[in-house]
Amino acid sequence: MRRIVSGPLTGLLASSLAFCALPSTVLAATPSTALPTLSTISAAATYPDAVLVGPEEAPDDGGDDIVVIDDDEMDGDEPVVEGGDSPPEDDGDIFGDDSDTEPDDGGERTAGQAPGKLDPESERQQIEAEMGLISVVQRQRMLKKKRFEIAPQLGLTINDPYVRHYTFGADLNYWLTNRMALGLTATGLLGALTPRYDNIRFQQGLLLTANKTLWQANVNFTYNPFYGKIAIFNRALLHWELATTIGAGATQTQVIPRYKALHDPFNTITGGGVLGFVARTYMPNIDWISYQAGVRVWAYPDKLEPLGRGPDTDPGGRDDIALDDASAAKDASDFQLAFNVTVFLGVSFFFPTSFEYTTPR
Amino acid sequence: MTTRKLITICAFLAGAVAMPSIAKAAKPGPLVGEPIVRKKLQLRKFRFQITPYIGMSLSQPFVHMGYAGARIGTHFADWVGVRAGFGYGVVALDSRLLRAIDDGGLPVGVAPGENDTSVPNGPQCPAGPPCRELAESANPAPLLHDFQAGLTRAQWQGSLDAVFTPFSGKLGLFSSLFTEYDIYIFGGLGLMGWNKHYKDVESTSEQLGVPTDPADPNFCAVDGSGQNSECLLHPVKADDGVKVGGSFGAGVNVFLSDWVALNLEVQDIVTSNNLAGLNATFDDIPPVVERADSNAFHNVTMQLGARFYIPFRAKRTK
Repeated sequence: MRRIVSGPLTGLLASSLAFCALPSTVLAATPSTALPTLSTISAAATYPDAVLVGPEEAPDDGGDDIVVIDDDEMDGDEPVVEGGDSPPEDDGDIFGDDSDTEPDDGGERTAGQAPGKLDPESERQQIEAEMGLISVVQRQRMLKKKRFEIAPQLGLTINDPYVRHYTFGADLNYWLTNRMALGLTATGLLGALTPRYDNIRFQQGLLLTANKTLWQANVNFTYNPFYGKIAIFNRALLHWELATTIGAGATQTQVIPRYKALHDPFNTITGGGVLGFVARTYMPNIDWISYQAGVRVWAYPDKLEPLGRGPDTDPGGRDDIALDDASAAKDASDFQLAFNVTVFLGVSFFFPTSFEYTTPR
Repeated sequence: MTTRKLITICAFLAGAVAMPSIAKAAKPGPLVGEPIVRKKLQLRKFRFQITPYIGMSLSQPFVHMGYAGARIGTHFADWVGVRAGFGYGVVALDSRLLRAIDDGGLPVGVAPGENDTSVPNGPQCPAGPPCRELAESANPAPLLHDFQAGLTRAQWQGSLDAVFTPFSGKLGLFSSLFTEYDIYIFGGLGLMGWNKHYKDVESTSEQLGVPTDPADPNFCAVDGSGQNSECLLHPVKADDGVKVGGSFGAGVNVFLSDWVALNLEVQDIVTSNNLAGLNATFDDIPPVVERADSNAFHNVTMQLGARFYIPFRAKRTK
């Protein structure tokens, strides 16, 4: 989208736009050919005390400057250089904080040497204000504010060596800001005994007491403090984010009877808390899909099969025949703290499917 | 007129066909093939790396082990290198399962010289290893001392790996704290050293000093009393020694400066071994502990260390 802006704030806007374009220009530039305007601003971004006046400065003809704002330039991935086929000079690293960066010497003048310019104090304040717009990683790839996110997920539990769960579910989040979201998570789990369980049964003659989890559901709050870019073999860039989630909800578990031929399982619905970390990355040029990988740790009180539930229920036997009944066994069991650690992969779909940048950085 | 129209249409079509190739030829700009980041710090290339670390096993069912060790390595390019690592177990913690087994999960048996009190007028256990109580004769579990005699723990681990570091970048927190980091994967040859967990505990056959080879005519035979049933039914052979397997994993370095980074890594060394040193198959009569009783086991450890880079200064790309 293009629009024409004119007026006395043109200089500030031009500078701000250049700051926005900084990652893209730096990322895609070749050092041998320079577009002086942009390189001058790039230098100013690195050196706060630099004066933003260069050879390509628009002549002060007494009228309004005209600046063409191309929103695509603000994306940071596809640099567009108008008015020439030479890319801007790159003197810094991808985040523009390279202290080795040298300014392009386009001729430095002070306000006193350039009649009609702002006084030095005003110019310094303007530069400081512009510097405030510079972040470590400029122009986030995806804005999520006021968007819904639906994320189907597949996962695996990793903390129980005797029962492995394969998980499937989905996150539904509403992003209040670009950093914070409220959401729901629902997960179904398919539990299976591992070879380690059978190994212990055969070798030690022991039957382990274990539960499997049937489903988990929770409400959660997501905070997304980390974001950045990552270079892949220095040939491609990925944007990524890392969020932490905290929530509370319900879990249903089922005991795995030690003597399956004799006893029925019983189920327990219990409450619990969940803490998670989710990393996500985005595809270039697609504003409504992201890929995520994460880990969740559930903590909840759970009921295990009581030890007195067994086959030796004859008179004088060590097992309690009353516990053959599933509900009686459940009543006889005490809650114990249990954990469920799940790693998962997912795909996020965002609605609305597009967004617009509302700030210049 | 018609001819002119046809020529015009043909020319247009020819132009349309030729256009993409022309456009294609003109499209590549000066940025094609250029690196995505210029003046990039080469934090790994041609730098030696020394990483002292502490680690913890994540997947051991019987004995959790805390390791202290170090890795050394170098990178031929910023994205590929080699390394060697070694960690020795300095802290051994019994798992909850092992504590349950030791605290009554397995029958202890009757001590030598004691009477079997599990049945009225039970016999006296002769000198030698503990005897199984008659009330436990149908229990398929081994006696506790036989289990302990065969139990092993992962005492040390080592590996020789190729390291790939495809991902590197800068990490920003609240737009104020930022640092370099990289994410790497590795794979190679792994070594695991297994020791007996209960060094002083001997199995029934070891205490009796009887042959454990079924082909031996005196297999599990005790002078004057025939074959010992514990030796016969619950053979024990601790699977200790060095095991060779595959090593793989992933990690992340968060650079605190150009020459030191915080290192977090998960490593899995897959070996084939028999943790308890007991028979686990049904097709061998009498039961013996053999290669088929071993299975693939993932020795997963999480390691936290500090990685030092030499030389201390990193070069930059053009």
